[in-house]
Amino acid sequence: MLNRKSIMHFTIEAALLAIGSVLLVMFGFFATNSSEYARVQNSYIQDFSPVLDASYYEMIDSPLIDGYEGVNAVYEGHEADGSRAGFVIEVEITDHATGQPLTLLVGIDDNTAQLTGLMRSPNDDHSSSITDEQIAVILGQTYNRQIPVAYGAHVQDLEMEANEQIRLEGLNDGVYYAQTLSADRSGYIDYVEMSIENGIITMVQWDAFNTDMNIKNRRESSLDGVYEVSGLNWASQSYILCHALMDVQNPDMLAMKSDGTTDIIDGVTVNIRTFIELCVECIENSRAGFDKEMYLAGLQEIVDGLFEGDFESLGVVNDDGYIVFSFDGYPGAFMAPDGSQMNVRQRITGDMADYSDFDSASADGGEDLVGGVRNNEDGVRSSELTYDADSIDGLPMSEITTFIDGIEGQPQVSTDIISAINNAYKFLKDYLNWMA
Amino acid sequence: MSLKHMAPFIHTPMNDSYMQMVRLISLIPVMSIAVIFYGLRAALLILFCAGVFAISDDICTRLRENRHDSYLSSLFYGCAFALLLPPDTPLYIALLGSLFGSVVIRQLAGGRGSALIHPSCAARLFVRIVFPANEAALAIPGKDRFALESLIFGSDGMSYVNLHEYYPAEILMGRYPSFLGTACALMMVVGLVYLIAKRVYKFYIPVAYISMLSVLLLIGNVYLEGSSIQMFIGTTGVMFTAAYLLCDDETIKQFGPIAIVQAFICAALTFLLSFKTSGVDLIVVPVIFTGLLTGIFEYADKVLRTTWEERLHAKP
Repeated sequence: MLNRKSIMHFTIEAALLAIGSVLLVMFGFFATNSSEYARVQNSYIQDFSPVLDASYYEMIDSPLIDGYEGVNAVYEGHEADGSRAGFVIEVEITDHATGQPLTLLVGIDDNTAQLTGLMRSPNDDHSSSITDEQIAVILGQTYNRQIPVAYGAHVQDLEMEANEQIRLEGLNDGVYYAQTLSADRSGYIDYVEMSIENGIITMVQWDAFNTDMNIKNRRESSLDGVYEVSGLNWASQSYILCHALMDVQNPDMLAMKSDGTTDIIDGVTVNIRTFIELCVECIENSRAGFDKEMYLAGLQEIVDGLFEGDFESLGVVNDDGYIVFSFDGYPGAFMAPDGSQMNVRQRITGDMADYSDFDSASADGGEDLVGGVRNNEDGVRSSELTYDADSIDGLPMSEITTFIDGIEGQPQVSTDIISAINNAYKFLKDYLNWMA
Repeated sequence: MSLKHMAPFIHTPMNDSYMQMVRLISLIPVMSIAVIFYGLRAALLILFCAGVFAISDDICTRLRENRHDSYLSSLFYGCAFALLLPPDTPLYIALLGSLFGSVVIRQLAGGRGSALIHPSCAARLFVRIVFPANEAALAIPGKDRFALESLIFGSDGMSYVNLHEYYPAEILMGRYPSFLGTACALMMVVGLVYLIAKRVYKFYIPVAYISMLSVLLLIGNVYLEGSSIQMFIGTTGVMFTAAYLLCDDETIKQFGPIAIVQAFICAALTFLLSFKTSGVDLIVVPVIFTGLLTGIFEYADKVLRTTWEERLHAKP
């Protein structure tokens, strides 16, 4: 047995050995950090440079990745100056022919959202029957093209869908614009910009600039966390709402309730009244042939008129060329002789014709519009809005930017590989709050 | 007092408790690096194995002989077993391995000093054979230090680790996926120096083992597919064998020419096994075989000494 003195002696020795060991390990740990970094970078460069050209790569450690089905790991590629070159995403998909997993590396450019590479991951266990040649065929069709992607069969579906797409009658092609004439309580002036091609609304953007030009736009403020709303951030809700309108082509179809909200668009909880009103104004402007340039010129003319030709000195044009002016203090500026309120187009052109017939929508597929919000009781529609039902890999068709032929005679393999690309896109969209 | 109770004194003249305490303390450097690299789960795994070894040894001793023994040797075996496990080993595997080493190998053989083979090595080989998938439960050092899920659920394991990608400094510091305590050769050398300085371990045993192994590797290097001797000794865990497994006074003779012969044989077995297997086999199997041969060596030594003495007495 050990006596008291021995135990004391051993305790001191153990403590000294422990302290010495910890110090030695810590020193060794820090001393080898550079070696570890160099080794990891060598490994990354060897594995990832075929899919994304970058000077160095960093693994992203985010809880979002752990809970994201199908995404194993995400790496950021950086240029030598530290700027982000893009992403390398390791995606696991199921090869439906064999039921086995296939792990792919997807490279995506940061600025353009273009595919920079696609290859089998070094971590793939080669249990899938999909070959490197098949992957290379899809890469050949998608390289340097914007994602997400759909292939031939999807295109046919899209064309059929386009034929059946409801479109509002009387729309003139062009870019149209409308903004609120008064700032809200936070000083924001909302605006909607709408592009129309072949009579179809192809782009809608809803944002707001602030009367205090030092404050960022509402979209940027929401992404920075400065502007907060319940549910998803405002930028995401705006994005979803704009795409919903592009899918249904009619603001009435968004089923705004009397309190300004809608129940039928997942993720949208904000008041959409301003958006609807501005969209209606854009559509009316389109029907009247009053495009964005005319709108902004007209607005400038009105402000100029209020200040007797001293527009330049007002400094109300922001960096984006929009006129940041609230007409709160000028109630008569848009008052018609009969006392009714006019918009910018009516004020400039004097054209008081009614362009607001939203029930005259045509549906080549034979589908009739069942009233609009103005005809519905509290905006409740008889059927659910399914604007994202016709989707690819959970992405609405309107978001698909590249269409490819796929691998000839192998639609399932094409679908499987494309789903890896689209899953990578979906992840980045959620991770970065990407706006299309 | 039975001879069996005196067993630890058979191979060395030193005090039992003193030796066991020194051996236990000598594990501190490798336990430190295990905890720093793998965090809380490493600490819990070591404590758990040591506790299970100590408690089961104590229960068995009380049941069999109605007496109490020192915990120190049990704690050493438990810690050594834990240090041979992959970092993400679940507790139930550690429990079964510890019970096998303690109850089946040590206590059923008769308790302290009666085991023919090293309990920690036997426990580890048991885990290797019964749970082969657990051999892949390796982890990247310094990552997820506070993760405890692996103690319950294990892990999916790591894909192949190419040690040739690692820099020498990383290898020296044990900064590569390996078992809890077998990666850092530097720390094992620190423990070994402590054991030798405290005169619990004869320096010529590890020196004989490493020297013999180096010579054999030098001769057989052509068969090792370009792997250098330093790389082999630094990454296969044989330093753990040299520092902590061959110092077991219950199963390995600790002094005299037989101890050197045992070290040579252990090194030769390690070398031969390296052609057929890798991983923990290289660490524990040679020690187990060497332990099994101890009795034969001692008998041969006794016969030779007796014969020599008889000749000396017969001459006059």
